[in-house]
Amino acid sequence: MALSQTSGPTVPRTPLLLGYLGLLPFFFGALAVWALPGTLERARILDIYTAQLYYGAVILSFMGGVRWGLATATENWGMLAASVLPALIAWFALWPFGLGGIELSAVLRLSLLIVAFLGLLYYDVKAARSGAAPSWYALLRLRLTFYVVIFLAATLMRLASWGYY
Amino acid sequence: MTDAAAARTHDADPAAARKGLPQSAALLAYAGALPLLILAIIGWTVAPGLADGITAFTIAYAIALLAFFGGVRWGVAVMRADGPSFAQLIGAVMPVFMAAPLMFVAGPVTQLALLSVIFPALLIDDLRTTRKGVGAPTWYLGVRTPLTIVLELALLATLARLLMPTYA
Repeated sequence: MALSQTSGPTVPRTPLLLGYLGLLPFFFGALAVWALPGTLERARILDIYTAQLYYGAVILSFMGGVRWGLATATENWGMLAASVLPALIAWFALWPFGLGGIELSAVLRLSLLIVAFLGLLYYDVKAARSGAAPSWYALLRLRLTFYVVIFLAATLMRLASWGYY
Repeated sequence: MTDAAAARTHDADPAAARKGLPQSAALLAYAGALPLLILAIIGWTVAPGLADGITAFTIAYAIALLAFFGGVRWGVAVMRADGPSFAQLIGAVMPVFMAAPLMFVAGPVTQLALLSVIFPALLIDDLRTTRKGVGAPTWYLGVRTPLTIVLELALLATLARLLMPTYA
């Protein structure tokens, strides 16, 4: 990968391993919705999509929390305030179907997560450049978000092909 | 940033640091408990049909918050001058390891019961690391304690609603 060839910071091994470990549910979710429809009934496949969506929301909240933690070190109050946004977006993506007359489609929910992950990546890279996060953190986030978006998009395309938009 | 400078100079004295804590950060943290409180109140006052959605939303919010608290640990750990320790990073992802399976535990009663145990446990662990000087700043834990109490009340109120005879 081109990123790992750039001179400069390398990601410490523990965060890298934990990061890739965190990708597994995204990977298996995407794999399952594409590979299992011949074996499992539609309702079970939708359960797998739901699981992936919830997991994505959890990871997005976690990543927002990281920014809160980073902000306490540099006493960056703007960053601290904005760090709760990903969790709120994630929570909105999980809006119970039909509650209050609001119905979000599967494609819309996954799109929300994808946009939030990309937006957060932008701000995380910015933070690393300005010294508000370690420089290796941007590198780690770039790699992980790349895969997260691909796996979420794979599920999104599957559900879109079934008309859940 | 005069706020930041003020907070830094007060760092040596925890009591003074708490006084110097920007009001906005504390308010924001308390605002984090607001959705749970509102959901708990709505859950108690609306028709049972809607209440199921409210319960699901409450659990989703609590799980997201749990993951957020884990993320805070990660952020604190990576900004340490000597870099993050293995134990700190594992401690940061632990809430995620608990939060993710919690979504698939059968039944909201079990989920709420587990959450109402995990939040205080996490707080106690956070207080311990802060006291040792390797955790989040004192002001953050000063906020986390009342925040956890409010969260706990909201979770227990929702749990109580589900345990009412009419729901059995």
